[in-house]
Amino acid sequence: MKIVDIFAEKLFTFVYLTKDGSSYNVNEYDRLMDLWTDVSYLRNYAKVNNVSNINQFVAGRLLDAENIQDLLEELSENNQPLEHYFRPLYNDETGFKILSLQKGRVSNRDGLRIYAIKIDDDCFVITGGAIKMSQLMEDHPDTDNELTKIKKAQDYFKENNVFDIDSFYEFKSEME
Amino acid sequence: MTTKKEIFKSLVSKEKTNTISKNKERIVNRAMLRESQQIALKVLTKLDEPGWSQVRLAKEMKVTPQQITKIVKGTENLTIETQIKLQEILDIPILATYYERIMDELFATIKFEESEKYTAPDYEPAPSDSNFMLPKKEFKMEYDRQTPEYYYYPKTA
Repeated sequence: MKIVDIFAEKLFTFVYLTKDGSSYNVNEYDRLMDLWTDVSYLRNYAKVNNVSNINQFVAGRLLDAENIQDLLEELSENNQPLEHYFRPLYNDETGFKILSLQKGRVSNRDGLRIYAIKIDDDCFVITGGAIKMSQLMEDHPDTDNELTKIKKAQDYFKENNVFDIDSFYEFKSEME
Repeated sequence: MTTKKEIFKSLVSKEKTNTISKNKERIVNRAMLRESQQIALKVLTKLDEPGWSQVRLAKEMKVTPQQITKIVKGTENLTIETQIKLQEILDIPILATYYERIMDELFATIKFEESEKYTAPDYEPAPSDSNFMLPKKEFKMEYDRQTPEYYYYPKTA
């Protein structure tokens, strides 16, 4: 896997290898946004998950995706802190925490989640994302998988002595 | 002296994504994308009906199944030709002509026929001593030149 810059040395994203390991996928943000704006994918997702009102579900997620696009545009254009979008993954987390696990959501009604590691103030690395289908991440296979991914990413940074923006830059340059 | 941060910046620029420009593009094209998504939703809903499949739709539209896959993603800027094909083959409303045709057919079937003539109901005239206000009695006056006399007719409703 590798880490690429989305904008302004503030928002980064992981890029994972394809299943056969022969090449890289598109970066996590683009991959998620491609899925969340794909009507066919969303409709199929609703069916597989036995959603009662399929078309309403699809329309809702399409709108959620638009809201994320608008927020990313606003954050990048106005150079606003990313903390406007990301917040701790665990609601009971308070104070400063090194390599805090974070979730991005536009509002309380947002049905989409982007997960990230907070490297430092206003510096995040996206690890993945999912459609929120259950209260607890462990209760749905997709969010459970994202939980595994974000924890692995956190461990990966810890193993490489990344704990703030400087150590992150140092690690990143070594990676390159 | 070059700092590690500067080294990083020079390296990361090579890896810069086009995510922001793609995001902008989605916002600029939002009106088109929303229409495309609505069409995709209608197409997929119709394809859920028995007998329909993406393969059959591809055959009837004379396009490849890959093109149908693109249409149902809801990200394509569909030509009017494609929209007409989808509307006619699947019988789903996409263009305004769908409803205009329905309205035309509806008006063509509506006929105005002459109804039965009105017959005034029988009624009992109110007694003369009643307190009800009676309508003012009106007369029509005509002059007959031959008899040279005036005739009076009570006006009837």
